[in-house]
Amino acid sequence: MILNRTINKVALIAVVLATLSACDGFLEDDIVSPNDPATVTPELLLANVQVATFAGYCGQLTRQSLVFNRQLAGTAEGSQSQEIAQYNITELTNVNEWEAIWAGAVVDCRSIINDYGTESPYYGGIAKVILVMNIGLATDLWGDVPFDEAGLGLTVGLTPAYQSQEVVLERIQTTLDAAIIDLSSGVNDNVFFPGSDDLIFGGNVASWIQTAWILKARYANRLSQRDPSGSADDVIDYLQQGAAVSSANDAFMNFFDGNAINQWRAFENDRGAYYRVSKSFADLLIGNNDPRLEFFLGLDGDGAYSGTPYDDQSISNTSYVGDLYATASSPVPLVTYVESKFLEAEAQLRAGAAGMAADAHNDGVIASVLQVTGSSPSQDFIDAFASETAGTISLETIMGQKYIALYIQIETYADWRRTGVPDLDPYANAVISGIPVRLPTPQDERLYNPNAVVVGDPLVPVYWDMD
Amino acid sequence: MIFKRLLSLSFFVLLLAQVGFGQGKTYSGTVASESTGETLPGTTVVIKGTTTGTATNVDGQFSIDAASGDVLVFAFIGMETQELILTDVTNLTVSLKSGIEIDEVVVTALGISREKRALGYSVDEIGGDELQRSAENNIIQSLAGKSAGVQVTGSSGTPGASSKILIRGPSTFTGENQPLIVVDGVPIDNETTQSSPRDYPFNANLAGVQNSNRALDINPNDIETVTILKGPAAAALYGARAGNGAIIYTTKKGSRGRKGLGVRVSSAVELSEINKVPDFQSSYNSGVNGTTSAFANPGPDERFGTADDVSFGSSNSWGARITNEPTFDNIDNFYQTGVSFVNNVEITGGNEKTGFRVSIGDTRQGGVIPETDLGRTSVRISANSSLSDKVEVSGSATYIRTSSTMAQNGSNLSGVSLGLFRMPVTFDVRNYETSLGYNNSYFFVYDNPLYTVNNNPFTSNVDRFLGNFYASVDITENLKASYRLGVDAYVDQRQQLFALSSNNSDIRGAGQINENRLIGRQIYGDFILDYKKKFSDKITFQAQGGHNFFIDDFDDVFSRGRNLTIPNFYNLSNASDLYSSRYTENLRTFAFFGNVSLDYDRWLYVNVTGRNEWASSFELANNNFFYPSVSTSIVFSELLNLPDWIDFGKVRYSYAQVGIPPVPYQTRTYYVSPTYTDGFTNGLSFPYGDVNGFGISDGLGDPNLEPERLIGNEVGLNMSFLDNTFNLDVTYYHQKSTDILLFRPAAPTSGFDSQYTNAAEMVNQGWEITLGINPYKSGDFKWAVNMNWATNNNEVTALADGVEEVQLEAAFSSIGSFAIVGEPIGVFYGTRWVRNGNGDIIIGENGLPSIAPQSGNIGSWIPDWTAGIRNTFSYKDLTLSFFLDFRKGGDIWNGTKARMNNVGTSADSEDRERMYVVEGVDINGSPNTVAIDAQTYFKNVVGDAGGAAEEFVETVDWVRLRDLSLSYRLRFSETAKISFLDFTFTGRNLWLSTNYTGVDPETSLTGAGSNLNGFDYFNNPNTRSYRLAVSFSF
Repeated sequence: MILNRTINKVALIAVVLATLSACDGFLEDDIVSPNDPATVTPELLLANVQVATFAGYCGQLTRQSLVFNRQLAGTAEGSQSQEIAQYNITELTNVNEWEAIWAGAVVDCRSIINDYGTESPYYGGIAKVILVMNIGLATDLWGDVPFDEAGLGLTVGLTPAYQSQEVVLERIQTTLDAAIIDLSSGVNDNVFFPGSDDLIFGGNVASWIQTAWILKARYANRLSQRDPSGSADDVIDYLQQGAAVSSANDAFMNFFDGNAINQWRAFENDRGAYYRVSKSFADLLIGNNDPRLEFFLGLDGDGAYSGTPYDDQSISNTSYVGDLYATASSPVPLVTYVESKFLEAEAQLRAGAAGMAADAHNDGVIASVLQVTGSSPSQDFIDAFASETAGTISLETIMGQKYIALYIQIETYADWRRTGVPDLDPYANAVISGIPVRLPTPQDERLYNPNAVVVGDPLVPVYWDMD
Repeated sequence: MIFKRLLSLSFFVLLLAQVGFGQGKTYSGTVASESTGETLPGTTVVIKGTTTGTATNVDGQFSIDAASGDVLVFAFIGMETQELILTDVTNLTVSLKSGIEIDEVVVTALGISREKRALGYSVDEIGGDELQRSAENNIIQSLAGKSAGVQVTGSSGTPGASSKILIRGPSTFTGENQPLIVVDGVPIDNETTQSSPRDYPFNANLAGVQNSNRALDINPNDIETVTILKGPAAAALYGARAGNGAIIYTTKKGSRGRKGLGVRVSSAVELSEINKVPDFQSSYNSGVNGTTSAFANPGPDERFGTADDVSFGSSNSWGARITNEPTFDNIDNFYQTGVSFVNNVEITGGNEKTGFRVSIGDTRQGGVIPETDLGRTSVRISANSSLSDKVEVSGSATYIRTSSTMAQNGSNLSGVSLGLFRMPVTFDVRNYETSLGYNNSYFFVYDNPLYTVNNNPFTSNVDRFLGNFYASVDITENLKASYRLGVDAYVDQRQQLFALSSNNSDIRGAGQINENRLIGRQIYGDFILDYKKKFSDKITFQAQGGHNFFIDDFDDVFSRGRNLTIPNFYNLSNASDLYSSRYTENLRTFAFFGNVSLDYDRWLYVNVTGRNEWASSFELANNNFFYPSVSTSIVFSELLNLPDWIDFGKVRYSYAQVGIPPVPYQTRTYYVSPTYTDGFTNGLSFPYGDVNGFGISDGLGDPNLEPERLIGNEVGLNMSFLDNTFNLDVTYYHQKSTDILLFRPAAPTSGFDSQYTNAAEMVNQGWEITLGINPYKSGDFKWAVNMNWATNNNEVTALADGVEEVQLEAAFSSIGSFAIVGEPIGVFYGTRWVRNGNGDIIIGENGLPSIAPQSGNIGSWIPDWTAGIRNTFSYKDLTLSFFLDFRKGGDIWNGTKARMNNVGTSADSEDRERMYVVEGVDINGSPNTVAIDAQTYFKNVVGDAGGAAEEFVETVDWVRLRDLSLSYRLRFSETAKISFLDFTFTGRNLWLSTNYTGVDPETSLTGAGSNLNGFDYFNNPNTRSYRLAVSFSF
């Protein structure tokens, strides 16, 4: 009897256990997603962070910045482009781009650096350069941003501490130094080697080293107002160490149509006539008889070249960005030899070496025309724009030609804020009284990061922008 | 044409019907309710003193062999039993009076029938005739306005557009907010799925076509009754998925005991037209700044983006005043009268032990938008049988084919309303095609709406099978075991084409083919042991225990071809750019449950349930959860000595919990193939060239996920007065959702934008009042009124730590849908004007207000209250019924008007030859006096070229005549083959009074597949319709 009861009890427990474990069997196959992997490789991550970077440098941030510094003009064909033309930017305007920088590029750069950087310093070094390009873009536009805790949500936490732009610029320099050391390591020190997953240089570490030096010069030069002579010395020093001698090793964003379509082309496809080349920029090239005109600008509705005035958004039958930068597969420059020559020119001028400044300026103009048009400029053009001397060279001249040479690069917006060249009047019917010199802290950051340094007013300059 | 079809069908059924006639002397007739005049299906008809009997069929008809002098006893639950002595008259009409006791039985969860008086929670029943009166093809839309606390929102009047249903407001953030849909005890799939590839980075609900909610596949003619279980108490036994309530459809069955076959044929023809569009200006040309511009002209090759382009045209109508230019009524020229045909044939039959029903339904609905249509053919067979005294089996099988062709909607360059509502009045929409067959429009990036409906079809072809099987065995007198198994499987084959030159293809003008295969499969099974024991005259005890399982598999394969070469050749081989993606989601749940109820002396009823549920969307370590419910009903009219004029009184209370598991695959963090976009293009994605890429997901998983809990408290009062002249039902409920799963937002600088986690709390509380009045019910004339009124107050009471606001679902950059602590769920979160301390808008020196740097709450979509009134008048065989539907409050973001003001097509913008002074104050607080020109005003202040989103939020009231029906029954002599013909005229949405300035405010940009509500951005308009139906029975 007792035995019977025990048997019954055991049987009951067995049935219950069997049922529950059958239950787990019924359930466990569907716990893991069949849609996405749980592991990854450095190749996949590297391609990912580069594409995220292309999205940042060839998207809305660049388009709107170029409206502010008047290479482009917003039209009334899109409410959003008209808002930009009216300087109507809010904390919601750039949430997608903000996210692409941090949750797209920075977080996976951290993964490459932390998970693969030791055994494969080439990967680590490239990731550090990409990291700097992204945080550099962010700090230029938003001022104070996180650096040390950025992209470390899995380990450090979900509310990264913000750091002043001054500190961020220091971190950029030290990170680039570390990148150069990584990229200079021996082949035998590396387990994995970047190849086609490196969409910018195909795994060519020498080109990455040169890019790192130019970037060091670019960010050193940001301090031209804070520390005129020290920054000049740094720029000259870095460019000498980097020693770029031609456009051959320029870093370009590469596009391949389809999923990888050039974003200037994609934008015009999807948002036809929202943005046009600005009238002042078109007139500048036309007036200069600049051979780059037909490369930089597309034909307008009348088969000619023209631009949209910044103060009349109703005109949209004008030129869009030309085929040089805006076919489905046109590459778009990121960091170039031409930029390094203008950086050098500006730094030398500031350091008091006007002759060397003039030489660098002239080299930059000629290299730009050659790179854009495929042939050297005419003697008339050289006489007019690439024959500066120690006696004639000025900051206005250098920045004026850099404004043209770095056409459609967001770098020109930083240059305009820093130097005031070209001299621009704000649009009178805008929603704010001046041209924006920064972006408002994105809403997600204001709401969800108590550590965020929140600035809402687009007229408050960033640290390196002193007036 | 419709008449011909009817004839051929009736010939077919007549042959079958012959079988049933001429088998001896038969008494037959109809049983109806005296008070409402409605026929009473399922009334038992027994010859007194014998066991011989039958039951009335779906039309309340019966026939029985008997002799003169026999007494027939008619019994129907809730009605007084009536006896009738038979004479030589064999054609009988029987009217039953409402019973003194309300002993109606309703089907509750798991098919358990309970007396209504025993229920401790709110249940609403809607008859099949009420569904028929709505003249809707969608069994969800049919419920609109019919039940207190049930909010149905149709997306638009286009055929097949989804209808969203919410009971007592939303209960969760990211998961399903719609109730469980159950047909004959088996849950069915009511998903609304937008077609989109996995590299599509935006909310697909904002554009594309308005896809169907899959309950649309059910033929309304198969529905006998609908039971709405409103709160979690009612649904505790169905488990998590019924946390938002359950809508239980019971289908018509073959009746037993009837001799021969019953045949019912019905045919209807319906005409529909648009009921409301915005008002337009008609005095100004295309162009800007008062200068007229030419329409888009692509030059001799008829394609844009080539060297011979002549003009891009303009999207604006701010040109010169029209003088001699011809103008066109493009609204009238575009929309058409939709013609629909609905045909149904049903055959019922059976013998003493078996009943069966076969039904064939065919619906052909033509849309008001040209080329759009919906076709649905449904074949259903159901049978039930007593295999022995102790064994019952029943089952049904349904095959449905639903095909639709849909038009583009919303934020979409091929959107019908987008192209039409921005069209200059001087452009003729009918001139939609160039000589080579390319798009011809006024502006080079918009499709002409007639071009898009003719050349960019979205087609969906659904093949669906629904089957269920049920068996029960009486093990002992008190113990019954039953098993139920149901399958719902469908494949939806969709195709979206964009012709060369159409603007909405990913690569503008390059043509595109999207092929999408959706496969859904649900398998549901339950086993229930049912024990019932009457302990004494006063105490009845009943208990059920059992388990159920549920498998829900969904597979979405998407193939895309871009860059077509050969015009009008739509095979993926014609594309130079191919992409394919697949998304699979499998959810399995399993549960044990129990239900104990105790009835004491017909005045006290107590019910207790408990359920333990396992789900595959948790990690194994914590994958199950328990939840209980208690409810009670006290019929105080049995206890107290109430005045005579009170017939019945009952109070009820229930407490219930439901646990709701997370959506699948959120317990872990995965790597994903990302798409990077700024919101303007489709962005950059992988494979990138020939390189693949993955990055860590922006959303963090959480291995410790717990179920959401919904805790409902509900009290109610049911009373009947003055011989059931007034029937009142009042409910107050308080439903608290805790541990709500949400994508808790994170600062993107961390590298992550969210973590799916349990964090939020939300409360829905409200009142539901239903009042039935029978003001006049004597003689041949009857008048019945049914009213319902409901209000729901929703408040988000907590979000995650440190989070005061969270976006629910991605929307537009200027306006989103948020959960904010202290506010109702889904408030509009958008841009606002800069204001001073007094709340006055601050106007700048240029006469313009400016946008505040921070967005905020600018309105809530939740109505203050909703109500409905049904009036039914009947005189002999003539019945007139109409339903008024009221809504008070609740906001809609009228993005359509914002843009129409901007582009100068709105009627308001007609008044443009004057200056405008924006109401507000200058920086010193003095009233603004700076005048601005009309174009600037309409673009930058009341238009979306600078206007704050708050400017476009409208608080909406409406009164609508949702349906009106007039029916007449023509009776034939006893010897005729046809006993009667029913003629019914139904008008749907015949009248609408609203302060909303856009389309019919019962509109939804995002449809039933989204948790967004209240967005109108070039939504397709709604319709009114006129239906004439004829039906007859043998």
